[in-house]
Amino acid sequence: MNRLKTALLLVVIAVAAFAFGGWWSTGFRTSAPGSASPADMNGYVLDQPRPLPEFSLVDQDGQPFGPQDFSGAWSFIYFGYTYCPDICPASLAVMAQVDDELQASGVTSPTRFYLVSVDPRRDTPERLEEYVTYFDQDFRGLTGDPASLDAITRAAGVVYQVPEAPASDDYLVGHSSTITLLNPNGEVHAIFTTPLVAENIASDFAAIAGS
Amino acid sequence: MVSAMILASRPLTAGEPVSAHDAWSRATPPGAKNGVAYLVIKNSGAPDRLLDVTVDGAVAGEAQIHTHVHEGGMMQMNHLETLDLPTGETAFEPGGLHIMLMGLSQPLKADQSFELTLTLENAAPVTVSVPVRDMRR
Repeated sequence: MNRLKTALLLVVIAVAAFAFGGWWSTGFRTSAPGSASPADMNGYVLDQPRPLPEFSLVDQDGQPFGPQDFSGAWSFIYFGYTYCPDICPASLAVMAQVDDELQASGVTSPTRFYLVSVDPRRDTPERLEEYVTYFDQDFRGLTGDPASLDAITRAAGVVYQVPEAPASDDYLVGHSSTITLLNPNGEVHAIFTTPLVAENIASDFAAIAGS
Repeated sequence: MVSAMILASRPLTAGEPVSAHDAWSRATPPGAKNGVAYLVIKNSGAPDRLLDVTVDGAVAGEAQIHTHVHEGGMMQMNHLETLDLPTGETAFEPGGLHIMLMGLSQPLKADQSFELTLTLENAAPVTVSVPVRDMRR
């Protein structure tokens, strides 16, 4: 019986992995010849930009934030949480450096930078506000209920894992450490993967945005 | 008797097989509850084991050994109870092994420093001074 259960579980995992792989390979392409990805890009440009689904997040001022609010500028989005001591502050510092690089190299396309917290239990709008503005006055923070977070992370090619009923307040959260780029129509346009290096992201972005 | 003589002749600090260098900590945003410290542990003796890391209670509630595991497209932090220290260097660095400081009393500011004490299975405890750096830009 145990053996049967194990075998069944393996089948389920295999099917899930196959399905996920299929979705991934059709949704995202590496920089193969003819694709839109800059050569040597650490990440992917989607062959077809993907519109975001409906969701209702809340911003660092406590205001509602929907998919249409991403319109009008290129959006760099990092998904993480403020209790994360290592990889999140390092990645937000990289985004601040990308901002600097773009300004220094005269890239004129309007850009915005976001941290989306996948840990709404601890990350209130006030908490997000003091966290993101530490890295740059103009950085924005978003969070929301699990359904909205699931909707935006799925579309953004991000996975995360928060304990459902943590025993204490110092639980850990697993999350992708990638930067999702939305175009000014608010569609998922590209994903930057680790290692996140500011000057590479800035030059790839200049190639993608064409300015 | 022989072992007592060996113990007695062992210097208290200089010549200890385990030492630490290049320690630093990342300055934290206002209100941050957790911080991080990195360092390189050098073990010039036989394999040893890091049993515990302690931090001044005025700085943080607790220090834990953490590592990052990259699986299923996620970076997941794992808490390690102990860490084997083979002969040679063990580096704690961003995105990998790190000392997580849980429950900061106040944000860590650039130019301050604090002490961490490493408790080892065999070698004498190692205390290292950890300067805080602003890594934003």
